Amino acid sequence: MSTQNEIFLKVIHQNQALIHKVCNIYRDTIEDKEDLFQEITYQLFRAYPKFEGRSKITTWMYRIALNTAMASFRKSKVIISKDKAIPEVPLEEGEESMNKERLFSAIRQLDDAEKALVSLYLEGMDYSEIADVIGITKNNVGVRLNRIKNKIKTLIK
Amino acid sequence: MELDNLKSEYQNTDSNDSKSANELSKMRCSGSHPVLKGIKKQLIFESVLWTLILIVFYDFFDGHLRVFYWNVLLILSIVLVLLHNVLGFIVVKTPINDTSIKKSLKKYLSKIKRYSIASIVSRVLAVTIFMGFLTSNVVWNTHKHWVSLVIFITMIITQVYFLNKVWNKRIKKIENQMEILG
Repeated sequence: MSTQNEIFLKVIHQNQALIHKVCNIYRDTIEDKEDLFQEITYQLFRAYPKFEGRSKITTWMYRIALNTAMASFRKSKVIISKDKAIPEVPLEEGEESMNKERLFSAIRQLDDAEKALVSLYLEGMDYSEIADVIGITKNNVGVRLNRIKNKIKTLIK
Repeated sequence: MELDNLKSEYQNTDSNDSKSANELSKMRCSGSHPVLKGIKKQLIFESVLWTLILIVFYDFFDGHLRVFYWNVLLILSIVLVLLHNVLGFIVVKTPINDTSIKKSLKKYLSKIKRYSIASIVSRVLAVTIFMGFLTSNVVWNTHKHWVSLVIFITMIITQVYFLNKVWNKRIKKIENQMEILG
């Protein structure tokens, strides 16, 4: 393996939580999440030689991961119910874990494009960064995120 | 529950399925890519199947009794089907990578639109040539003419309908996402 690939392998290894989060948002079953994880990792390795360092490596990784998830044609084996109710979480789990599960369940009910926007927002990117990654104006990001926030609020209630 | 308050929880999400460097390294190969693996299997299966058909078609379909150009066309139609699969492999293998998600999706959309046309045209051509080959030695009468015409049209319509349905669904999915992004 070349030095460049070795370095990038370390980068992926350190930031794999980012890929797992995207998989968790875009897929429901363990098997589908695993498949998407492999697809994203493969595409990251393929795209890495063209990474010019204009943005943070994690921002670039997010862009490739979201692109792959949004363009993937594989059908989920389990159809997501579009019910407004969020599944109950077992009581023995902690509050943070329960909140996390409810959040992910709510995000999974959004459209693919909305999932991309909200994941970048939750990752702590500001509106300018999100606008750059998505390719829309900063104002547009604000408008769309407000709608998504309201949607999620309704879903989590 | 405010979304802003959930930021830190989202950022601190760790997976229970953390991969080792070795596992990640293996994912660099197309053999580990689930979709590419499927296309590869299909390519190998179809290549073997069509090669076998080409080897025995002289006996099976009396190739030696047919006009030479029908034999050439049959080989060409099989090559066309295999090329179409190779093209599909390349489309999936190429990273969807532009300066933004919207640009990437736009580029990808035009790519799959082109591929969908190639997919439908190559299938229709292959079916047409195959039918032409099979019927090239037939002594025609009105009944045979109409029966084969009905079979041929039914096969073409079925192929076009199902392929178009599959591709339209995929194209719509990408178009909808671009519409949401505005």
